[in-house]
Amino acid sequence: MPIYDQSYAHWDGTLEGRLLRWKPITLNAIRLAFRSKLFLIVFCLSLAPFVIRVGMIYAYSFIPQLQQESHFARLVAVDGTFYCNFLVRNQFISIVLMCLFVGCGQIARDLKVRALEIYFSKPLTLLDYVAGKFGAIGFFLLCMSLFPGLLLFLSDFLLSEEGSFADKVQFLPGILATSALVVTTLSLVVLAASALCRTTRNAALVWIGFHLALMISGQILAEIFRMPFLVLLDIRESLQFLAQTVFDVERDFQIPGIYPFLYILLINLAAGWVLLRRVKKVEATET
Amino acid sequence: MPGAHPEEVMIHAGTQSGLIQLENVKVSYGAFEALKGVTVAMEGGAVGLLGPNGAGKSTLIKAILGLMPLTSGRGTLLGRDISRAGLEIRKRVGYSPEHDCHIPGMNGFEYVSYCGRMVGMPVKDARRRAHEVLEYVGLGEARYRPLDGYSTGMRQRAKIAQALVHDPDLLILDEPTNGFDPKGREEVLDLIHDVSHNKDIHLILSSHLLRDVEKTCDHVILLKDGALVRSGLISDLKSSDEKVFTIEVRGPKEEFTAAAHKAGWRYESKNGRTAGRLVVPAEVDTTAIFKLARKVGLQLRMLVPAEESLEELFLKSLED
Repeated sequence: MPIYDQSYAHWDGTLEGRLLRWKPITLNAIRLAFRSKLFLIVFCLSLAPFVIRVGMIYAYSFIPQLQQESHFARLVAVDGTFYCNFLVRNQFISIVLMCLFVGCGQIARDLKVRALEIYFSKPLTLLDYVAGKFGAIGFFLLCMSLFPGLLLFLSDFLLSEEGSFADKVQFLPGILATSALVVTTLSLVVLAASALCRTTRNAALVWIGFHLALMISGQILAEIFRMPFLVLLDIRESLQFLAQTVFDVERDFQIPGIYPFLYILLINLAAGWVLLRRVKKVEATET
Repeated sequence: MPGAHPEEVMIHAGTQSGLIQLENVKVSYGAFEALKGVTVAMEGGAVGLLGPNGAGKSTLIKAILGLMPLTSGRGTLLGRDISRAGLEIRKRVGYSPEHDCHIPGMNGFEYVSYCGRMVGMPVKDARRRAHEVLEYVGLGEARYRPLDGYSTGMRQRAKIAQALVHDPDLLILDEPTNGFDPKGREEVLDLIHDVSHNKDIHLILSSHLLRDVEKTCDHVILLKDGALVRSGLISDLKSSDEKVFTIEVRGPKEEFTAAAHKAGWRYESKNGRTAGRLVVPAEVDTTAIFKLARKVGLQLRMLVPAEESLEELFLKSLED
């Protein structure tokens, strides 16, 4: 009897339900990302702004001399403006790094090695696949926005004696809403860029180019038409403006918040459309 | 059926059994019709899918996996409607594509267990099965090596392993022997034969290598330009209404050729060679051949019944 005859037995287990079919894709992508030492370093460095902030809050709470410094007090004042700046502006570089290191290769690498043939030969739908990939990049972006935001909230809640419980809790919905906006928008855009290319490098170039093009065209149009709010064409500026609206703090431009919201919604829909259409096309022609 | 999902759609009760049943299946890419009304039924076992490039083999596989919408017609695979129960079909099918398709950054074990997880296997089971099937396909010792470092043959084995991990009812292999050395090729063909004949798993083997199909399959579906040319048991297709003999002669070949033609036989020999092929109607026995040879003064030095190979059948079918 050949050796292989001894090692094959039928499997009589039960397959899990369909609802979480995206989960292995997400978990696998996260695991593979953390396997890279370079990425680990980048990931830890990306958390630096958050660690510094926590350190400052801690120092301010426990070192009485620092509490006399009005400049330092302004720096560590945890209010709506602080969360706005932290979640969008301060963390944006970290988010960009995550998009470049994790997001750009998510679908591009699969296209390069024709791995979609493997994915779609399994009982997975297009949405399962996209949700799995979205889950992976979404996790890393949440690590850079929501989780630090919540930890800062917790640090402030536990360490700072200023402000009442109600004053502090009112920021929680804002943190959740702003993080959701940032993560959804940037994840969809980077996945759309990834789906358009067959290498991580090209996807990164497309993604950076798209953001730069919007930023530069916004600034040029704002100059030409003497309408400063046109810089909101830049996705980061729009997200910042929406965060200001959500936290109800002083806004950079005096325009209704609905316009940047519709703009971001349009970006999300367009990115989602490109993503699904592109993966579907490849699925139909290559699998 | 216990645990059945709502999307598990059966076509009408009369056609629930059997491996594959297609009725006038048409599939188009835009204006191009890739499958032109294929009608075929196979009860099970090992089926070879044969045809030249562009014949529609890959499209047929996509269609039966529920990945391509049918332009018209209908069909079932393992009793499930291919138009409506793609997900349910893919739960019960293991597919090994033609291309490399390995996911970068993984080793063999991770790749196979990941594929098991994607089908819906629990983590523990997926890991245990990954070890088992990797051992089975001959990658037991290489299971922890990165896939990127595998040879082409090893990658083919890894693809077969990922297709087997969830113990499918049907294994679909697309050109599974590409990239193998002769020894590895024989081993994999033995393994494929073992899966389909001893492990109670149906097989559809798409290949342009007739020998692979002949060695591993009992049935064949022959496609050309998107249309079905022939289908059925290989042995039935080979047994036709003609007998073929390999003969070696000495003497007046021209007279024998003319007499054979007059009797409705066919004698073919290459220029100047003594050996050739004689094709006679099935009812003609060897005595008649000896009589004719004696009549024209021909010496028959060899007369051996020749079995028509699948390759000859294939070429003849394509010519027809």
